[in-house]
Parts: sequence; C-alpha cells; structure tokens
Amino acid sequence: MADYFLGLDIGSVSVKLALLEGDMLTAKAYLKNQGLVPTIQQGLKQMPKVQISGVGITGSGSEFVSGLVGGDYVDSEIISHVVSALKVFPDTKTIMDVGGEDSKLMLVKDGVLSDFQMNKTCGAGSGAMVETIASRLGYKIEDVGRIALESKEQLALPSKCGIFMQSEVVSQLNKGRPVSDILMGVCRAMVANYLILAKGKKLFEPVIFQGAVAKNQAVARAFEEALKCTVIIPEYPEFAGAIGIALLTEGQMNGRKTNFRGDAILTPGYYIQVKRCPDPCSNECELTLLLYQGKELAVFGSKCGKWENQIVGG
Amino acid sequence: MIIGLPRMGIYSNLLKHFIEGLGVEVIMPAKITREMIGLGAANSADMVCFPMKYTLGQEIWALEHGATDLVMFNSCGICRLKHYHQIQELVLKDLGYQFKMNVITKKNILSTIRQWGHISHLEAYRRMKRVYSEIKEVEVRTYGFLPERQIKIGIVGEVGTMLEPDINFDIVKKLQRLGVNVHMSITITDYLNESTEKGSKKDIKEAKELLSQELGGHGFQSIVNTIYYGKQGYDGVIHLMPLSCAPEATVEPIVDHVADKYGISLYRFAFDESAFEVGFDTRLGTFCSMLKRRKLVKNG
Repeated sequence: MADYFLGLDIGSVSVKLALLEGDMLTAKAYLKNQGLVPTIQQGLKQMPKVQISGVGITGSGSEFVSGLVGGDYVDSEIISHVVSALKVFPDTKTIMDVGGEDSKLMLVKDGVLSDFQMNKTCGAGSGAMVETIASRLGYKIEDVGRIALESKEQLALPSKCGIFMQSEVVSQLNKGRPVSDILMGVCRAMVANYLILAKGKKLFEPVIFQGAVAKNQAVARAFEEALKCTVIIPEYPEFAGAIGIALLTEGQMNGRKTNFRGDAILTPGYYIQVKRCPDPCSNECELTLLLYQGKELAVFGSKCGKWENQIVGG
Repeated sequence: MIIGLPRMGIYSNLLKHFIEGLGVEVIMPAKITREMIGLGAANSADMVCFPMKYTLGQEIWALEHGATDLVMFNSCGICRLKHYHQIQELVLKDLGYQFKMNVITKKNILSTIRQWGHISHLEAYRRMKRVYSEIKEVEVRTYGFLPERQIKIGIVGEVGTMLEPDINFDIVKKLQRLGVNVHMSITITDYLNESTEKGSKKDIKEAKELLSQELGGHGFQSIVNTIYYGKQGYDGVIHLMPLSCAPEATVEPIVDHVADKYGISLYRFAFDESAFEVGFDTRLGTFCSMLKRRKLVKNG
C-alpha cells in the first residue's frame, strides 16, 4: 500500500486540499475561504478516511493552519507551484499562476526555479478583477470564459486600474457593445496587467498556466495572443499548489512520523485570541494564539520568533 | 534646545548618545511606526520618494513631543533628497510649528558638533573619531558572517532603505534567521570613507560604460556592486529602494542586465507607505528558498 500525503493550499479566496497516494491525486476539495478553522474542518471531512503519512501546507496563513492540523512541512506557494508543474511537464520553462488576489510568474532554468515575480501593490492582474466586473454585469465567473470566447471584435479597455476599467465597461455597454466583446476585453486587460510581472524578463516555452483562473478559457486565449505561443494548462490547475506541497512533503518526511492531528481537528473547541506580546520591546508584536479546549495549541506573529516554538504560559 | 533626531537604523542609539554627550537634549522615536509614516505621507506630495515621507513623519512626531530643533540631512548630491530639508521646513511651518531646522551635510558635521557642544575643533575631531570607530563596531556586530549560514546575499540600493530596519522590514535579521550571510554594499563607514563602490577598477569601468553620466543617489554603486557580487560568487543580490526613487529606478534595467550577465539571482523590493510586511516576508522567504535549491542542484 502506498503512503498518503495531504497538501493544503491556503489562498485568500479559497482553500484547496489534495490527497496524493504516492504521486497520484486520489482526492481533492476546493472550498471558499470562510474562516480558516471551519473551512479546513469541512475540507478534511471530504477526504477519504486513510492513514496519512505527512501533511504539507502552503499559502497565506500556512503557519496558522500548520498549527491547527499538525503540519509536517511548510513552504512557499512559488516553490509548490514549480514542483507541481515540473512533475507533470519536466521541461517547463515558464510557469504562470493566477489566483484570486495574487499572481505569480516563475521562470525555470535547468530544472530549477531561477527567477520569480509576484504582484506587488495591485490585484488588477488577478482573478478578482475579472470576477468583480463579471458580477457587476450580472454574470457568474464560471460563465465568463464561454461567453467571452464568442467575442467577434477586439475591444481596447484601459488596463491599469480595475475601477477605471469598470466605468469604461459601463460606457461600452451603453454604446451597445455585445457582452462577449466586453468580457474578452476584460480578460485581455487582466492579462496585460499580469504581464507587468514579466517586465525585463525573457519568457521561454513551454509555458504552463496554473491557478483557478486557468479554468477560464478566455484568459488562456488572451495569454496565447499576448505571448504568441501555446499555453499549457494542467488537468486540475486550481490544485497545482496543493499537489506541489504534498509532493514536497513526501520528499521531506524520510520516514519521520507525521504530526497530523487527525480527527482531533474535526472536534469543536477551537478559538483564536489576539494579544500583545507581554515582553517590553519596541516591536510591540501582535500575537495570534490558537486555543484548543482552553489550551494553547500554537502562537504566531512575533517578529523575533521567540513564541513560535514554545507555548506561552498564562 | 531640544533636538528632534530622526532614526538612523542600527546607528540610532549610538548617535543619540553621542549628541547627548555634547550636552544637548535629544528626542528620538523608539522606532518609525506606521502612524509616523502615515503622518509623513499625509503631508507629502503623493509621488515624492519614501525618505521624504518617513523623515517628515518623524519630524512631526518630534515637534509634537517638544522638539525645538530638527535635524535633516542634505546629501548635496544630484538626487532630490537634497531639497527635502527645505520642503519639510516649509510644510511644517505651514502646519503651524515653530522650530529651527539644522541641515547636516558631510562637510558641516564637524562645525555642527563644535557649535552644539561648545567645544574646540580638536575636541570635536577627537569625539568624532571615537564615534566613527563605534559605528564600525556596530556594523561588524550586525553584519558579521557566520560559517553555519548556507548562502550569501549582497544588498545593493538606496542607502537609507538599506540601513533602516524599520523601513526595510528588518531584512538583515530576517535573512540571517533564514540562514543567510548578508553583505551590506554600503554602510555609514563606507559612506564616510567614500568607499561605496565595492568592485575593482575594472568593474567600475564596466559600469561606466553602461551608465556614463552622473545620476545621483547610489544608482551607479548599485551597478558596480552587483557586478562585484556576481564576480565574488554570491548566491544572490537584493536591490532595495524607495518607491519612485529616481536614481535606483533609472538603473533597474542596468542592474538586471549585469545580474543576468554574471548569472546571479536578483530580487527587488520597493518600499512606500503601502508596503505590507506579510507579503514582503513571503517574497523574501521564497527568494532564499530558491537560492538554497539552486545551490543544492549546482553542488549536485
């Protein structure tokens, strides 16, 4: 019997769980992030009851989740995405990840990550922009790709700011432009914003497109137009991060016993407390405490790291 | 006279004690808080570079806490920082504050010390020598290499951003905790000794071919020092700058070019009042993780 490894990708918009049996994806769950504790509990309930040999966590808030589930390994989303892409497409040169609120570009040289870029101050190159405008027009994000691909005419929208684009979209609607042209224009504008990450960088084929936005066919088309090359999308693009961290964990365990807390995670009695670090220091860190049945399970948020490895008393 | 002194990174306490030793009362914030940065940003032009905002914020804090005198540095260079003392004086007086602005340049340090401490030229020189050696000690303590750290990163960029942990989210300590030996391309000692260019004469010549005119700030040094780190076999270079920094933004493509030429990984952080620490930590951690992986693969 092969070992089972669980990967959790904690995104700002959604939480992804991937269960691997050896290298094979056997179960997966995609949940909207509605508070980490209930979302993770719900996700774990969807996983088959198997003996788990290791748990890896990636994404924002991964340390918190690691405390909650008893994680064995934590690494960045970038590394997870690269590992995942290289597993399926070993000669990958460029990896694009477009998520709900952030976007990343990764360049691979000789099978190792050689350069990366993440969006810095703006989310207009991420899925949230397309979703916001689509919902403004009364469409669900799942339908955007299909509708936008029916576009007949190219429409230029101002791409720097999502809010300015929204007013331009409304004015185009008023002029009687078909919705398909507008949605395709929005996808192209998102791609233009995303490609700011590629400034000054040389992108080489094969180009892999991952993240939940990769399910939107129109965005994939817009990327192909902009890059003038084929863009490859893996079977489950939204799970790339979760699969990657599960694979990384597998490589890190080396026969170690897992910290996974199993069914204890599903029991009630978790709550979160925020308090100032009691020590006198100019950092004035705000500590986040995860409590389970009245006892402290983990602490996060100190700049010096002194609380992270021990539980605060009192 | 109560002098409101802005923070100067790891040198802050040392310089505060030095000036207090001259018999002058000094107030200095314990750290540059987000509130101070907000105050500075609210009273600055939106697109001006970050040093203007975070020094102005500290000046307002100092004036609110009873300072009668302010100190602002004038680089006397080409970059716009040299105008900030004048603009800040104007902005603060428009806000209704009464104070005297003391402008410090590299040339008037000695005469300012004499004036504040009512001491002779020789005594001022002696004290300055002593504080210079203390500065050097702090640098050695902060940036010393440890053999157990696996990788080496050189830091280039705008000197204020490089040397102020409250602005650069304490990048040096964070890197050291991640197992990185950090080399600061420009320290205060280098600045005072005019040894800000780490590369050889050949490296300087190469950089001059890429940027022949005077630029101001430390943009030129960023090019030379990136060449230096590339040649010295460092694992990576981090380029730090305030957002909209004219010299550093100008040399961006040149720094990219030399990093590419010498095969050294580069990551760039630009800071302003909207920078957020969690995002910074993610990128920094990922960059180190990438360098460690590359090193592992390179060493087989």
